[in-house]
Amino acid sequence: MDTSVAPDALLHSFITKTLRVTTNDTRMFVGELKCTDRDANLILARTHEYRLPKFKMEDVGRKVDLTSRYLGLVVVMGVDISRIEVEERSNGDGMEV
Amino acid sequence: MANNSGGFNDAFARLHVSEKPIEGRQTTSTTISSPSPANYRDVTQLFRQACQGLDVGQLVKDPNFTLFEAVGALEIMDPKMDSGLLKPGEDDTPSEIYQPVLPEEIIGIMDQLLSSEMSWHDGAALSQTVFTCLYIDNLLSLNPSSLEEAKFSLPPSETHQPGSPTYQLLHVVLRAYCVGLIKCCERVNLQILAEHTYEEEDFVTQTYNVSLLDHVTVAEINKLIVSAIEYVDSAAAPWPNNIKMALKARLAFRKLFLTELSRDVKEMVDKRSNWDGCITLLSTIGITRNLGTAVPSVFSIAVQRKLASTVPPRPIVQIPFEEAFTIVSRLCKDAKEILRVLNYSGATNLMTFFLRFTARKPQPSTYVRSLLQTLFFSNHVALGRMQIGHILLEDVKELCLPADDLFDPRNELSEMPSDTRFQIHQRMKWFVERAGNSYITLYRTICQNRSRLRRNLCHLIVDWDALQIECEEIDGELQQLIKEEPVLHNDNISYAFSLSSWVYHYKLRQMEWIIFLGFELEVYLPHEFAGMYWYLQYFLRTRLQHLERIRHFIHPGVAVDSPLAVTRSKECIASAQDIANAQATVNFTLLEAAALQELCSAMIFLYTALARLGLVKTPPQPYSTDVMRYELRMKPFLTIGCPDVVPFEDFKNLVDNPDIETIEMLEMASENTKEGRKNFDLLSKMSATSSHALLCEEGYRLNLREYLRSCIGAGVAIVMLLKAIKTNTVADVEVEIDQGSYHSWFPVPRISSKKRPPLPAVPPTGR
Repeated sequence: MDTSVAPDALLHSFITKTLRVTTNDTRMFVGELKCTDRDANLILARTHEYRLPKFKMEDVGRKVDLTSRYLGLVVVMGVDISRIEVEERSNGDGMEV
Repeated sequence: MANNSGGFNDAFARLHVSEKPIEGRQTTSTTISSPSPANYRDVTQLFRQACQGLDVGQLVKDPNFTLFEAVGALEIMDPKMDSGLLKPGEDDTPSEIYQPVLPEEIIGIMDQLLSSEMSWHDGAALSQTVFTCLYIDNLLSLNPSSLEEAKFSLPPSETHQPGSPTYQLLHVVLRAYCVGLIKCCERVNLQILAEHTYEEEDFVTQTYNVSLLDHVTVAEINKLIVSAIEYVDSAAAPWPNNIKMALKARLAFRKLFLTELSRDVKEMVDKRSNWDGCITLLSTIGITRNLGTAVPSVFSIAVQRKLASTVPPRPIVQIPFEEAFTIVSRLCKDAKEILRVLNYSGATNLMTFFLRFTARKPQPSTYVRSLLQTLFFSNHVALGRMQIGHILLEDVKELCLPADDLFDPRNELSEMPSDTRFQIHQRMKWFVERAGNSYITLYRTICQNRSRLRRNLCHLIVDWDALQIECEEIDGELQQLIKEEPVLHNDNISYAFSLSSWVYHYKLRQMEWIIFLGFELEVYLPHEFAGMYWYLQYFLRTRLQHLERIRHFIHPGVAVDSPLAVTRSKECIASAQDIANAQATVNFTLLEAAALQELCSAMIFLYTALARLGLVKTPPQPYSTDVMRYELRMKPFLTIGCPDVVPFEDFKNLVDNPDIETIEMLEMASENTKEGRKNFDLLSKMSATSSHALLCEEGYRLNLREYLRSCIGAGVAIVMLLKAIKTNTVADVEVEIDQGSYHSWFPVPRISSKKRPPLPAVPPTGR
């Protein structure tokens, strides 16, 4: 591990950013990071859950959206996470790449 | 700081090298458009690595976020918390919904839906009840914005060819029923949200962001149900008559029920309600109940995965049909009964109705209690057509009958501030506004659940106490304005103080209710009973004295030379009948209070005697003392100016009566029960009119019978105890306090001889 990067500083930069977290059961959670720890357990605020739609387009005959619902404050355990993504805003606030 | 930011910029530079293509544009396995047009960048590896660098127990968090808040977070992937979790091996693609073939199954599903709906009325959440039905879910999951869109989206099947009876059964009959039921839920929710009730405690109004056909009108839905009924009736529907009758009754009930739930107050005032129709159809539903076949597979907890919910998943609640049937029947009957308040016949009658109706066991449903609040007061109108001030002043007149000049309509016409009439009007206007608010709140509070009623009364009496003081001042000013003649009362010259007298009377009643409800809600332990009954009899005695005073000052006289005498309008002058009515009200109230006071006195002696005999024991109080408990019980009354709270030492003496022998005490109690019984008997002989029970005679009489039963029960207990003392068999007696079979405000000790332990087997001596 490269010790030149202070791990907490890096993690602090993610705090209050919007994360998209995919869990092992293929659901996604989009929420604002409030807290994390050594095991990458995450606390997300104002979280929405997204899952694949149940109906196929041809069954329903009209456009279907991604099934989502509001959950609020959630805890996701590090072990259940398969992917963590951070939202990047085009207006340049937050992290620059 | 600069160092820090450099640090993570470096990290990102590294990330680009170490990770494979990480582009702004997402290339996740999901082919669905992302929830917002924002771009996401995969930081899994980076994030995890950074986490590893943290110490055990070290947290990186938003400084504004506290771990205390985190307690309320839902834990994802925890089966107890995460309603969206799939069990291992479980598939998220919905299993095909079973499509019923037989009309019996449709009847079964309708009845299951009714059970679900009534479970919701009974306090469970929609997510545990109606929403767990796959048909309801199917109808609502695409968020229909019109009636056309509210249809089942079920894959075609061989048994359900369009136009076939099985297809019609599902897409016409069941659909109409489901749509009607959803709309019923919407109406109920709207009603309950419009008034004061306790969320989660009484009822769960949460709809998880699901629209309950808000945009579809009741008329459209009724039309849909009618066409379903027509289909069932037609020759195209090839079912036996009894099946047709069962289906039609359910559909017709749904239509009528929806219509009743959608009525506004004006329609109710115009007597357009038809709850009787619902009740008749319900009886047909009850008779044809056995024709249905239950289809449990059309209810599934999996629906909760989709509901926007910030609370953990909750199990399905579905009460048995019989129970649901009882709830819906009671709802219809109660909803019909509360319409009686529209036949206004005096304020005291109205109050009696509210008290008796809401005290009923089991308590009327949240919906009905909410509707009663709306009927009583909504859009600044009371009972659909009256001014609240009118009812308030009638209440004052029925009890105290103040001087005529206060109510002279000419007062209002005067515009000159120096004019006496103008000044009287200003004060009466103040009273109507100030007391009117407290008066409305009192009625609304009575509609709350019993525990909340008790709790809220503790707050209300503080307001009424303040109101009493304010009114005393106004009374003083009014008596000068109208030149009231003072009267000799208890060796003192005094004035009527009509308004504050009325307030004080209501305040005392509320104080009594607080303690009575303590008994009803089983707040007190048996060893406290004697003390709490002592307080009741203390409040009642105070009220009796106050009522005597009110009687003395009914319709106070004014000086002959009063400047108002010349211009007084005739219509405001109280007739002999009005005076007699007020006297009758006071006499009735006196009798009622006296009866209660006798019974309370009997209870003090009885429970004190039981404590002395060791038959009611004080449980160990490791963290409490009698004094602390007394303080706790008296807390609501400590701030009340009058009557005072008695110091603990005096209270203890007054309750324990150490100077009186136990036998003597029980004999006094026996006298009290006899007196009480006499008074209750007198009350039962009075007509509904003189008892102010015109709107609820049965409930009122039932209540009286329960008081009498408690009186008789206490009498029996006293005789048994006296016998045990005289025969020296107290040690063989056991006491059980019966909360159920008597008036809930007067639980009675049941005294029986202990079952003797079986005698040791004595070997036959063989004579």
